[in-house]
Amino acid sequence: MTERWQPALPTAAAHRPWPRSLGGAPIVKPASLDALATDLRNAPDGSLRPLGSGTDGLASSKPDALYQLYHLLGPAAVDEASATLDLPASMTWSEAQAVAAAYSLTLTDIPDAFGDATIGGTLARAPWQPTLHHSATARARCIGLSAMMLTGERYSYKTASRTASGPDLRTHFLGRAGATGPILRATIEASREAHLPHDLSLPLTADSLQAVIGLQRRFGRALRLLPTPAAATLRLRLRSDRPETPLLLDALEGLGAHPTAPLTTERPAADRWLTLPFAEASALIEANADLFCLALGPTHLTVALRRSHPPIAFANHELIREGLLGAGFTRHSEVSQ
Amino acid sequence: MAVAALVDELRASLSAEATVTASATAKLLYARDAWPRLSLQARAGQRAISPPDLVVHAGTVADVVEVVRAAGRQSLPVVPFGAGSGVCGAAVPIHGGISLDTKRLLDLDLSRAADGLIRVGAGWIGQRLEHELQRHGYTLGHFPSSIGCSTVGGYLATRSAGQYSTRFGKIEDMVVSLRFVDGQGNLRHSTDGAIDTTQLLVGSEGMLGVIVDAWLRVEPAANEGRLFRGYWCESVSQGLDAMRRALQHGHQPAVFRLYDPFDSFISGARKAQEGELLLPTDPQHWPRKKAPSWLPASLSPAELKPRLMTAANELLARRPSATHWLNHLASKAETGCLLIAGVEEANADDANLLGQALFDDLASSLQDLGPAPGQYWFAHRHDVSFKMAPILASGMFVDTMEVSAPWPRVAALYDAVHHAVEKEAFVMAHFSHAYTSGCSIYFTFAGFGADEADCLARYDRVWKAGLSAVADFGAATTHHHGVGLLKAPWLASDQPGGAPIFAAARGEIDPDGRLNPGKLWEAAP
Repeated sequence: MTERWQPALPTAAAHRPWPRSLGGAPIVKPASLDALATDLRNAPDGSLRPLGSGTDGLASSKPDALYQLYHLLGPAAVDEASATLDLPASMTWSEAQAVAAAYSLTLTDIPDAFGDATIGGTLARAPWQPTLHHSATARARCIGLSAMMLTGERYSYKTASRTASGPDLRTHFLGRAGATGPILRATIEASREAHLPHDLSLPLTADSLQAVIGLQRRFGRALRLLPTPAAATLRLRLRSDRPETPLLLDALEGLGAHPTAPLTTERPAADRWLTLPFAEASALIEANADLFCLALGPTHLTVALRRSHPPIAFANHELIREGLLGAGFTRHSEVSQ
Repeated sequence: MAVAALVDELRASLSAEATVTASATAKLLYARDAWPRLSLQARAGQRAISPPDLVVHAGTVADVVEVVRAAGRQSLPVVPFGAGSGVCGAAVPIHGGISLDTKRLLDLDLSRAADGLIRVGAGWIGQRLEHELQRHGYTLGHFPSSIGCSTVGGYLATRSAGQYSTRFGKIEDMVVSLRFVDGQGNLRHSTDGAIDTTQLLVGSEGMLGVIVDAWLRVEPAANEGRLFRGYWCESVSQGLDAMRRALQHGHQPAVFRLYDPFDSFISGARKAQEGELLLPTDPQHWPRKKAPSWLPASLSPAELKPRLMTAANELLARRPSATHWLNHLASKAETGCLLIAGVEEANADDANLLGQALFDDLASSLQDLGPAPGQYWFAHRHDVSFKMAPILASGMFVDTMEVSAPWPRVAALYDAVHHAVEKEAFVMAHFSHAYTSGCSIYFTFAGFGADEADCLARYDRVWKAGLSAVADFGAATTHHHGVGLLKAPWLASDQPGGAPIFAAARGEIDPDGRLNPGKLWEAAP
């Protein structure tokens, strides 16, 4: 049964420090989605961009205007049985986590560092970060999507767990920074995660990474990597209710892991990320430990690097993806054949 | 240019491993895939929609490039073809042209398998690939029932799922990136551009590119780490609830299959015939409040067989009331449901640890039947793919419909489709491919008509009624069989507003519409 949830959202949104302009671009609040559709149809491509929390500044190609939509997108809806949340794109991850918590759910594998960012903004930026196992990628977690094209037409990806209904046309919107139209709503899978998980921290070295990868391959459902605001550190969270947890705790303590306080929503002091296979990740760690681990996938590690980091060349171009955590990033050709 | 001249040109320009033919036999073979409607059509004396003008077996990736370019010069369509096991008509040419068989694209790079990554050519048959991987200690974890007659390229092009999808994911979860030849004959990598197009190519059914190879994830093979357990549930709802709770509690079994009452009854009876008494055979002792009203108080395994045979023969004999009678029997078979759970891990210790936790959770609400039902299923898991042909040959129609929905709608969706279809065909189902947020339902339906033409018409009515019910219910009309010609009319229901986005993607990758024209949104009304 789907329940509608609309506690403090309008108030919270009203108290957000929305600027009247950002980077010189005026901020527009369309009166309705129909009005938005008309504006999109009439505007030259790229001259209107959606605005999330405004936390990331502006894209390098500055639009003529930014539009904010939080007043149009309706409340969150919770499907408790499916453990999914149908969320307006303008809601922040912190707000979404609060909605989830009200139903004893949690939005796992969503980078907590994005707490102040909106769901739409995050999906429009870096949607493909692999996380712990196949079913936990952001793409897999976002099982439903509603968006508006630049023509003003609406697109929906039906919420149905998995389908084989042709190509995944969410690709048109996810990771496109709003250039192809705004994301309006997203249905996100949540988890019924046990309370009081074990949070551990250990120094990041090529050896510790290899050991964690081995544990993840065996017990990936109980172990996940948390994005960390500290460089050269691995932060791990273990479910407390899984049978393999004692084994994992023993193994990690043997690697020098120690308990840490629950994660804050602090962002890492870095602004671009690379998702790369374990072999390349280990080599990168050995060469330069000044990086931040964000997510551990079944075959790939996602790390964040400072903008000042020199370009890096990798041989396996087709296995490495790059992206940005923040706007204003000029794409470097740091990955070469 | 005449076809004969094009054949000569391609024979001269392609690799020694390639073959080019315009023989009548080849054209007949490549005019269809395994869509049952095409068999019914042939039985009714109708010709193939539009056979290809020629068939090319590409021997190399360069051959694929050359064939697409040659097709461009001759303004001919190109229809990529794997092993032809698709059941929706996706690989069926509808404008002639070149059927491009990719089964000879057999590169395999295992040099990074220890990192969990392999590069594999599109032509690998699933079973052969799995054997090769297991020989090196790995598994792809992709086990569709068609594994012996389907290719990696086909899996990717149709967004396929294997029987272990709950554990390993669908093919879309296994692919890291892929290479494809676009409609202009350019070899491209899905991560080359500013936008990662991997998930745009996956499920594109040959319309956005000819997939030639892919980087896929692999895992350590399970040697001794495979365990099964069967459970008896009082109802579909109870079984679905147990599955949902287990998955949301963090369990990730490789196999999770719940059979509806009639399918469970058949499963139990079939095993009873073979002397493997997996279920209590005396109905009075079944874990149900009372024996089904249409069964005698006591029924031996030997007595079960003729009763089932009678039911099947009624259908096979095409008695006018047989469909209704079987559905009526099924509705009366309130005998409960069989649930099979299985874990697959790299070693026995891990399987025991994780399996026991799962099995304990399930046993808290369901009756434990021990390992035999799952072991039986494992031994016979591919059999179903070989049972359709004799049924079709008998003059009946039979097909399967796989749909999916979020958990709260699964049971009601089952009822809705059952109700929509039961007037025209006998229908039963199982629930598999379960995830934390929802589940797939796999319907099997069978029926017949007064003659071949009536049979075909009834088959079409069943599909229309079934998929309309799914669409009306807001569920997804396809989970892992793809779209093809069969489901294209309902594509707009699954991805409303998708047509212009797809057209834009097609315009960028294949501006001339050369690749498999007339499918997906181009076939939608």
